[in-house]
Amino acid sequence: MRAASVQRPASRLFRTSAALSAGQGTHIHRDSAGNSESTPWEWTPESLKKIDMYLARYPDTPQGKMSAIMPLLWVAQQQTDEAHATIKAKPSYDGAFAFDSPQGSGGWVPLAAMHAIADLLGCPRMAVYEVATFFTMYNRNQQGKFHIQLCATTPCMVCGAYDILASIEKHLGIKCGETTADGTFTLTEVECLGACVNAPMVQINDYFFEDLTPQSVVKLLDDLKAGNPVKIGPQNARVHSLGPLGRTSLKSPPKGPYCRDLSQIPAN
Amino acid sequence: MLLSRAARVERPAALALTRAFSTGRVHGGLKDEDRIFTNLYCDGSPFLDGAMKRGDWYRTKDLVQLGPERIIGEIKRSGLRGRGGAGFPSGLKWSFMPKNNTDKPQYLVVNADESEPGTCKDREIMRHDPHKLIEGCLVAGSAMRANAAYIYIRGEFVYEAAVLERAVAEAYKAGLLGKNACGSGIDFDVHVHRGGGAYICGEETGLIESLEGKTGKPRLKPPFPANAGLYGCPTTVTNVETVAVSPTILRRGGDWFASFGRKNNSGTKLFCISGHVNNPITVEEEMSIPLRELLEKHCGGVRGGWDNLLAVIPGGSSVPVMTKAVCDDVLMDFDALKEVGSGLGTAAVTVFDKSTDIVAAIGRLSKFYAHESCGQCTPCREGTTWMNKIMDRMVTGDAKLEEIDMLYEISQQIEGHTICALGDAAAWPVQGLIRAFRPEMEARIMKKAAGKL
Repeated sequence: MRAASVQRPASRLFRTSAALSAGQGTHIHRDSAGNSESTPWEWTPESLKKIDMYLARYPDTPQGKMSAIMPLLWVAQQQTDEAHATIKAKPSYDGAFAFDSPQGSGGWVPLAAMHAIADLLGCPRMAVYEVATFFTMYNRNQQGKFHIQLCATTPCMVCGAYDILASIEKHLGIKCGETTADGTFTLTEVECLGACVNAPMVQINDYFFEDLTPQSVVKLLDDLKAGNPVKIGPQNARVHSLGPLGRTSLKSPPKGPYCRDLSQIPAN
Repeated sequence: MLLSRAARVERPAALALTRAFSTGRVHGGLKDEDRIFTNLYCDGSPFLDGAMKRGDWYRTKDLVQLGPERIIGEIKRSGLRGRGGAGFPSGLKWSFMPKNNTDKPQYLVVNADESEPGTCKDREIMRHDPHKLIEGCLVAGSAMRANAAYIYIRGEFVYEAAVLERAVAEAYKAGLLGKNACGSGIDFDVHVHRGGGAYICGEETGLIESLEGKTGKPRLKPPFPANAGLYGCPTTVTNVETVAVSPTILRRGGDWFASFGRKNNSGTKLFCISGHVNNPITVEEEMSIPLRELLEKHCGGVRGGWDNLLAVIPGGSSVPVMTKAVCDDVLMDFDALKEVGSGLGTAAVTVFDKSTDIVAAIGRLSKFYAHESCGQCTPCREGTTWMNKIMDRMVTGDAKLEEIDMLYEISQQIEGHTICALGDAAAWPVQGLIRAFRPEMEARIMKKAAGKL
């Protein structure tokens, strides 16, 4: 169980254990009303299309098919992502785009879906369990509608990640590893998300929100909850990885195609 | 730091930037016309129309038709060293692939699992210049006699994966990939595979395991991937930046690339600078640029001025931290940083000013490694957690003085005793901290013992 489930009554024991593991949860599956072996699972037609696309990428051998476990877990998470449609994401610069369909980070994988994946690929169920528990991005229980993953590794930390965390905790009244009572937000502390130049930052479902302040993160959460448009990427005036003081290189437009005379290259 | 500093002579203040390691020419000041990643800041479209205008996919057919020997020869001539951290000579690595294998497919696997704390350079390539990578896959892949490339991208890079998928689809549609790719006569496929959020999958054999649909636990080597990698077939795993620069090197010439940076450290490099600088940025610069010049020219200097600098991690979290005295004149390349007891790694520079609690900053890295250890080897699985616990007490001052030595000893018991390099990577930041900031750690413990903390 990765973080507090919305369906599960938050017992003291559970909260404590989730908080101890920084919200990453345990590897144990416990049956709940909406997540047991007997919960029905049907792939949607869109999902089946994606599954065909992914299967075509790997060799058509029993071993090759196993490679599709990860993509299929993503497909399952895309299928269960109900929050995506409510996020009005705006790209923050020309050439960037928002997603027209869920990419998976906002969903979860029920046990029944793991079984469906094993059946489809003809592999042992254990093989799917192993992958689903090893990787932190596969949510084995339903998360809050918006899953806030706060990066707190050193580059973000020295730029104030824990101030952002305190601000979120105060605003939502929850700790790391917990979900708000209304099921809107789940908060998790995660390791480096790879946007260090734009620290501090959080990932909420499929989107990165960067260059946060304790104030701007609260506004962001309020906007998400109210269904207001939100800007993806830097939450200040910065544009992607360019610094706040602007560019220091690439001031002239790139030259067009060039290739030297390749016949000069000696044969080794 | 200890090796070459003693020989330093006093210099006039105006020449304060002259480096102890200098070989005559001052490196840095890369001109726009010599930049490889011309769309780093998304000034044009990341997709095929923009990429072709910038010169990607230009005469790719001719590049591929140079053949493996000449491509690898040119990469060797360029002096390109792997950009993923270890700095292994790329041409040599590519040449390890079998040359007369007819019964098994061969694979190029691109390591886009960029998870080293501080590192965000490949992200910019994938989201703003994806065709550089895709064209590189074809060119490098053909040099390795590979039939297909898999780009393993970390799961958190949702946007970057979407851009890549779109760019790959465009390339197929335009006949640049697939059957008779670019009209070169060879068939070549490129596939994107999304990870699931595990740092260990950045290790080449962990990545291969994960790509095979298993947990990302690294394999014991040998056999090396070039003999038995993905699905037991010959495989080369290489970093995004290494692959992405290769077509430009071939077009402009190995000698052109080798003209940047010091000998054995040649080329241009993406640097991503985070932490306490006025202008955190990802920028392409010449190798061997002095660290101070990199920070002052591109990053608006250290917050509060150069004298407010406490320490720098020059190459991602795995390399030891350097004190200001070292930072004053060190060059940013593989050999110079190795000489001062650190490393270039991924060229992810994290800057700490004097307001930083350096013990807590390195302690957080210990937590990172404890979390990311795959659990396969006992020294790493147990040791990273021990180090994390001891570091937590070092931060609050609740440790004992003798535990500093104990911590160092534990780190040495991990280092070199594990299947993969994660154990070493976990050990080095702690060792670096003890080497550079031991007085700070001792002072804190004594202050706490005296009830002053």
